[in-house]
Amino acid sequence: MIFSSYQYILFFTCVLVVVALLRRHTYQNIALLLASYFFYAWWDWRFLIMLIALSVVNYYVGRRIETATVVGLKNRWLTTAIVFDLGILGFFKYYKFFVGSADTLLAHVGVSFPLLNVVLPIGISFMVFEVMSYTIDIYRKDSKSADTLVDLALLVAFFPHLIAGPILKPKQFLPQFRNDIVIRWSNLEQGISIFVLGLVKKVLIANNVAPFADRVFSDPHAFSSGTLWLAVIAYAIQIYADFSGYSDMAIGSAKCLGYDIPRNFNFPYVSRNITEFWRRWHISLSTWLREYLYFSLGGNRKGHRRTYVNLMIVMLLGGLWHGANWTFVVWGGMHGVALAIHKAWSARVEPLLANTSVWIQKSVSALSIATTIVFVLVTWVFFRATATADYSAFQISSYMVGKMFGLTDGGGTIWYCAQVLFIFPIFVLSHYLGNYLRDYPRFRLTSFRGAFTFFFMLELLLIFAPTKQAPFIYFQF
Amino acid sequence: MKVALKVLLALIVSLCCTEVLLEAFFYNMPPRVHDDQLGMVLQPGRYTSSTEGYCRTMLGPHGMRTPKLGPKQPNEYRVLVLGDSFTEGFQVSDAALFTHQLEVQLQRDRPHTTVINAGKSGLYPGDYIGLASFYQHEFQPDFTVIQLGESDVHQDLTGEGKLFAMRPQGDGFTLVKQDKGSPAPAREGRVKKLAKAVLALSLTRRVMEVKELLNTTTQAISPPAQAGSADKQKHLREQAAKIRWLAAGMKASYPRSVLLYVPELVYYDPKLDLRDPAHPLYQVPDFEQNLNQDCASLGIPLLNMRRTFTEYYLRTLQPVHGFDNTTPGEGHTNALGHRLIAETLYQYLKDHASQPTAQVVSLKGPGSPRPVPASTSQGHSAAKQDHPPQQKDRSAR
Repeated sequence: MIFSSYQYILFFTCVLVVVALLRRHTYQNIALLLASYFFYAWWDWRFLIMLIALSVVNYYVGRRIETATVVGLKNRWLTTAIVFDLGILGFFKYYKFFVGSADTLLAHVGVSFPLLNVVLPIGISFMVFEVMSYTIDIYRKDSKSADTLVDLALLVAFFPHLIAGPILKPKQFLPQFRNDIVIRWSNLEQGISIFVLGLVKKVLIANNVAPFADRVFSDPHAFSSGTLWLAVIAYAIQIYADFSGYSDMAIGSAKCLGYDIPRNFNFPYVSRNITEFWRRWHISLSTWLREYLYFSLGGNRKGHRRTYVNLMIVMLLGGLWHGANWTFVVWGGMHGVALAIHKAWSARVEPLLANTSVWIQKSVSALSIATTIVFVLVTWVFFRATATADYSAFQISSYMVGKMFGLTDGGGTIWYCAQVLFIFPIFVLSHYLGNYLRDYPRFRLTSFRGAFTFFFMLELLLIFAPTKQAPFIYFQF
Repeated sequence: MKVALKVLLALIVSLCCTEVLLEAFFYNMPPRVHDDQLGMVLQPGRYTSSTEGYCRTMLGPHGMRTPKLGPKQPNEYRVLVLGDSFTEGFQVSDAALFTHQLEVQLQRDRPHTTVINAGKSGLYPGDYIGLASFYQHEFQPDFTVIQLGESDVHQDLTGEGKLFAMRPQGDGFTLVKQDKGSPAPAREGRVKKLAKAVLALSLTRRVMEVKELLNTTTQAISPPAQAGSADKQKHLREQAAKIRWLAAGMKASYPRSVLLYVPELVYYDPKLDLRDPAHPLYQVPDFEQNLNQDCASLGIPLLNMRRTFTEYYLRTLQPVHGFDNTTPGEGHTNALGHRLIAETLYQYLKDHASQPTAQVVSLKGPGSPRPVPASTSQGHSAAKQDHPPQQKDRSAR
């Protein structure tokens, strides 16, 4: 069930009531775990076993790592856990991709691999990264193992974040399971506010621009270059509103229960450079990649060249994490190159700019913001494009970018989608306002202003929500 | 208690604000009232629609987009335009409506010209025949344009759910008037007004109306019957018989008239290029070919907009259907389409409207332009010139 459905409202209400009645955290955790398994089974019950297996294996491995005294033994247990976790991810998500690619490469020498039709379990990428961070943190002694198997299982399966994150840090979240849940009005108020905000982002914004973006991306040859630009902007709005809206609904749901999930987005489109963009976009993923991959590769401690290589590796793998397709790898690679360039820029050019006039600094800053936005928009083309009967996704992406920048004939149907033109200025304004406020807007539901805002948003949702719901984008990852 | 009252007040105020926002900018649906001739119609007054295209208009008597007309002046020339939602045109502004544009153009030649938009969503040829005496008496037209669409010649033509139903009779058919809503008693009107004052009911009604409208406009028309199977052949023959009967009926009811056929085009195909002759843009459905042939054989003037629409699209790559707030290429005709219709009608009326009786006139070519030659195009380039149609042209030239 998706968050923006009546079934979820009913399900969540039942969970709140049960948790409120149980009082003690031991029983509350079990109830939440069962509710989370029910939530996951609603999507696809077949993969419950995988979910349980991930929790059980990593729990026991975590215990072994914690109690092991010999470093070699610790290493072996960590390796076991990582191989197990990545093995599951690799099989379910990447088997078809790698085998298909190998097939294509080796077909001319007569080598062929069995191509299984593997179903992708929903949320697998998020789950695997979470259990990996659990065992790695224990190995690094950054955190202790979970008190009970139920606690770790609940961390992995906690239904608000189960399907599409945010990726929770075990050391931050596990301690919260030790406390009894008390349903407080202040938490409910804040949680509902954040949830409704997420709902508005998803249903009013993302779902209204999605049909336009989908239509243009499905047949970019038919539309003018101006329309392609508008479609890319629409997709940028859609993916942000969709994913951050989902994250907000997850955060709001957890808040109602008294749990604090950290923000996953911090108004990324106001970023002045690509490094800042990745500190504001999908924060839980970028943090995970930085702490568990980039630092493990050496980070920036092994010289400039190695730093750039590390950045490329991290972003290529980060791109691949999003999906088993070469377009995601290209997308990640482009971001890796941009990060490396910015790293070099920060080291060599920015110190020089510090001595220039304020006017020049502000101009460079404005140009940086514009360049970052344009770059991000262009990379979204590769992220979004899908193959057609005649063209690969890469060909479609290249064609679109070429048309957008006037490198090919820019003719085609002009479509200035009314919904996008209406939403775009509101989006820009709210983005900058949100960045200025730095926090979620809070409205007290017991005050006139808070209740008015709440009811007004619900009415707008009721009236302007499209009849057809677009699926959550990040569910496919 | 205080909190509950605050929350209740916030709810009422928020509903008021939403209501004002909707009425001012987006959507207001006048209630439907009973009309003795036309059944349930929109109540005269202001009407705003933004679900497909955008328009703010004033509805006149009978819920039409025509103001109340005075008695016909001796030197006045009246053109009555009958049609369905494509003529009603709630997707475009008053100025963009083809009937308005036609009026403006005709008034250059003949100042005292009035073009009456009698379009009403859902009407079909049986209704035009059944209501002929009403229209003649009410508007006293000098000339009549009857707009037909795909639904008039393709979907079920028994007229079920319409003002007049077609029933088989002998070798032909007969029209039977159906009861389309009863007059609302005065008391119910006052009760309805009171209910409107309870904003929650009004808002709920609007939400339901908007959702219903969205569902209706996004429903695809069912595909035409494919030749080949016995049942489908039989269906085509029955449809053809009904179309012939209706066309003859319209000719008899409106001696000085022309049929205006507004087709729906398929502009995009994910697999086919515009250079490909198999592209759906160039395909003329069977039912349309039947209409062209029947009108030619019966001597009924028919203006088929397919060629004009297609040529315009090939030249500019701008579809004449669809809107910025829906999808270009789908749905009703947009301002471009209305302009082309107005220009076509103007040319026709300039040439034929002054003739005392209807003559067998040349049909606008029933076929479609040929595909773009490969040597001149890259991707979706426009066609250079109108070529003779590939189908047999039965027009009398």
